[in-house]
Amino acid sequence: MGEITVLNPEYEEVDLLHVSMTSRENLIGPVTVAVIENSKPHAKELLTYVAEGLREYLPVEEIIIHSKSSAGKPIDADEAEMLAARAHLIISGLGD
Amino acid sequence: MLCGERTASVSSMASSLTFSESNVQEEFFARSWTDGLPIVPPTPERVKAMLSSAGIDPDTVVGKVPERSRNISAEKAAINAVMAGCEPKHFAVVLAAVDAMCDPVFGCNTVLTSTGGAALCVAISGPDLAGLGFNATRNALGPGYRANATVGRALRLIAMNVLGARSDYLDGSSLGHPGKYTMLVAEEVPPDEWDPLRVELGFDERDTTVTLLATEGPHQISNQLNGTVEGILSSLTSAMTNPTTYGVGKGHQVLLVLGYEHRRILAENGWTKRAIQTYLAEASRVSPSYLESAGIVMEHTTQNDMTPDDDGKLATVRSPDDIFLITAGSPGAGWSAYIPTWAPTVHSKAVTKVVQFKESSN
Repeated sequence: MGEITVLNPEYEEVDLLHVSMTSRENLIGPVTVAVIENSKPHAKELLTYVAEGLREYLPVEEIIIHSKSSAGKPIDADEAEMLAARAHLIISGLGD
Repeated sequence: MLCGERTASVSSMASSLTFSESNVQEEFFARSWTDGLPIVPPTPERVKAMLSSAGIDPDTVVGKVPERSRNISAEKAAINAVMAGCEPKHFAVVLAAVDAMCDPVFGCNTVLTSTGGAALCVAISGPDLAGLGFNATRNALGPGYRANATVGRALRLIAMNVLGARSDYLDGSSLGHPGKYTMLVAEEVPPDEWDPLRVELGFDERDTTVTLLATEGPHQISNQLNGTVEGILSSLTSAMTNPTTYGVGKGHQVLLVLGYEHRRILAENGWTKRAIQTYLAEASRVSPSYLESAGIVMEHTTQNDMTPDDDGKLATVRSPDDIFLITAGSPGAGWSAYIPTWAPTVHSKAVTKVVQFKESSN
C-alpha cells in the first residue's frame, strides 16, 4: 500500500481575536457582589452562601442574585452590561 | 513528506495530512477523530465531490456556535460527511441538519454538553425519501440503509470534531446512548387522511425537511392485542408519562413514531393528527404525587418550576405542538416508538429546516 492524503476534520482556529483579561483592582470601598446562578437545584443557595462568606474578607454592601432562565444558555449582552454596571465582583459558574 | 506531517492544503482551508494507507484508520483513532467506528478517509477528491453535490463553496460558513467561538465551514462539514460514509447526494441533508443544530432555538451548546447525553435525532420528511435512499418501512429505526445510517453519523462527527463534543473534551454525558452514534427517522407516507410532518409544520408538500430534536433513545411501544383507538391512545399516554423520563412534568417535546397498525386504526377511525396531539397533551398531564411516588423530587427553580397548574397537575408537554407525530415502520404485530427530548423546552426546542438540494441533484 502507498500513502494517502486526507483533510483534517477538526476545527482549526483562524484569525482568533485577541482577548485580554479585565484588569483586577483592589476592592476597598463598599462592594456590590453579583451572583449569576445557573438555575439548577441548589445553585442559588450555594452561590449565595459563597457570596455571604465574602463579607468576612470584603466590605460587602450589597449582594445581587441573578438567575438564568436555563443552565445551558449564557446571559445575553444586556444582562452582562447591567451586571457589569452594578457590581464590583461577579461570581458565576457551577457544575452539576 | 513525513507521515502525519501537516501542510497547508492548496485547494482548501483545512490542513492536510499524509498517512500510510494501511495505517490511516489507526491514525484517525489515535487522534480521537472517529466515533469509535472506522471511517472513510476524507481525501481531497472525496471532499470536493461532497461539496460539489450541494453546490457550495468550501469556505461558506454553514453554522455558528457563539458559545464555543466556533464556526462550521462547508468544507469541515463535508470532511466529516465523507468520514461518516455519506453519499454526496445526501450532503444537502447533512447541511440542513447542521443549520438546524446551530439555530439558537436548538441550543446545541447545552445539548452537546449535558450530562443527560442527548442524541441529535433527525426526522426527515419529504416527497421522495425512498428515491433518495432513506428507509421508512421495515426496520425503520434499525440498521441496513446507508442514508439512514450515515446522515446522522455525519452530524455527530461534525459535533465531535468541529464543536468539540467529545468525551475527552466538552461532551459531559454520564451515560449517553447508542443513538448518539447516529439517529434518523424517515417518514413513511402517512395514511391518506393525514398530512406528512412537513406539511403539519407549515412547509410545502414538495419540500424535503429535516426536524432536529435532542433526544433520548427510542422506547418501543407495544400494543398488539387491543385494536381500539382507546387502547392505543392509552398505551401512547402511558409511554409518555414514564415518571423517570426527565422531561415528564417539566414541559419537554416528544417525537412519536406511529407504526403501521396504530396509525391505520387511528386514521381509519377519524382521528386527525391534531386530535391525537391534543388528546395526548392533556392525557399526559401528571400530578406531583404521581412523580413523587417514583422518587422524583419537585423542582422549584427558574428553569424548572414544578408548581402545579390550577388542576393540580403538571404539563409533560405544554402544547399539542410539542408532540411531533411521524409515521414509519412496516406491518407487524403493533409497534410504535416514543422518543422524548432529553430535557425541557427551556433548554432546547426542535428546529426544522428545508433541505436545499442543488437543482440538478434532486
